Amino acid sequence: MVTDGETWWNKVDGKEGKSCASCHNDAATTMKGVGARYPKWDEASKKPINIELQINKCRTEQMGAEPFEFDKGGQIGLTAYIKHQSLGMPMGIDLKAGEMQKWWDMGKETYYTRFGQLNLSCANCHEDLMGKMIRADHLSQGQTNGFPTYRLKDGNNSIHNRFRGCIRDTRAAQPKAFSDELMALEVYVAWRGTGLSVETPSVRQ
Amino acid sequence: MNWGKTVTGLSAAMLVCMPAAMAEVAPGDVKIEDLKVAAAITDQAGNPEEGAKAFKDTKGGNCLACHANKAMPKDLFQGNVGPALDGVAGRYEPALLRAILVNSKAVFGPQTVMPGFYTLDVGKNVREESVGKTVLTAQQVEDIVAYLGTLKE
Repeated sequence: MVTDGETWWNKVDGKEGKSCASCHNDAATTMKGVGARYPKWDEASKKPINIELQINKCRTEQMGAEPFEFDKGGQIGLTAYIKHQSLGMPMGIDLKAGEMQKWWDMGKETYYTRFGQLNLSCANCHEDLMGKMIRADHLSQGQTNGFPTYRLKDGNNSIHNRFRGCIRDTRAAQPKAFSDELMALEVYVAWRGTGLSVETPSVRQ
Repeated sequence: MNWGKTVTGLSAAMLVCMPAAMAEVAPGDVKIEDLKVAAAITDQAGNPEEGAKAFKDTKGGNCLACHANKAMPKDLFQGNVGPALDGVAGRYEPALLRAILVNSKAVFGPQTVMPGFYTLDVGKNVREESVGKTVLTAQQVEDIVAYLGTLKE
């Protein structure tokens, strides 16, 4: 996943004839700390932006390339490669920037809302019951510091794919990846991991 | 001679052929009083063997996901989110088990994680194919109540 991302980092794509490295040079220096600070406030869109959407913004605005579709192309690999440059650094997002606090509030509301036919909130499993076994699955704390992660049953996983998978398992309708609802949830869940080390790429069951 | 069995078999086949004639209480009409649903919610008695199937089926009750059950030793990775159900028949009477299955929140309170299996009092944004539907059928609830009744220590 990470080496795949490194290949994408150096790959020229789009009308401008640029790669990520053309502007950002050595990721080990320029991307250090980025993975610990995202999602962050994006003044242009007046919304939080995560690494995946920042990559797409660079591709469309700087490289003249097509944005990656959700989980396609180099999206997971590049996100993992960029976040990996912060390995071991403590997670800490800035809630004072722009309207981040409002998005945090929205995400918290979602986290504690029960969804679906099975009537479950994120908190039911990942706060109240973390550590327990639901059949063969060990209920995690639902942290994002190791994402994108390698899941033993289905390979490389993005944060939004896992959000959608969890919501599907409550038998609720799934919000779209990078929708306002899931961006708010990413902000809130990243905040819950404040102080945890970035572990990307981690391995999960 | 097997006349007795044949006749029983025919009767069972006729029952299976007439599901429309079977009465069941709609999810919204099940009354939970004093933490109990006193009467069965179908007029066909619960079948413990069918109940065992629905108990373990991941697309049925999937009870094993959260509750361990020593009576099913071949089914590995039993969950521990809820209490083990070994000997539950000696602790809980059928009317209480039925109420917990129908809508656990009416028994344990709104904070419980356990889903309601025969209620339309569910979470937000239910996926399209599950709108207006319960997790289990009334008959499956009765079958599982009957199966739980066999779990004696």
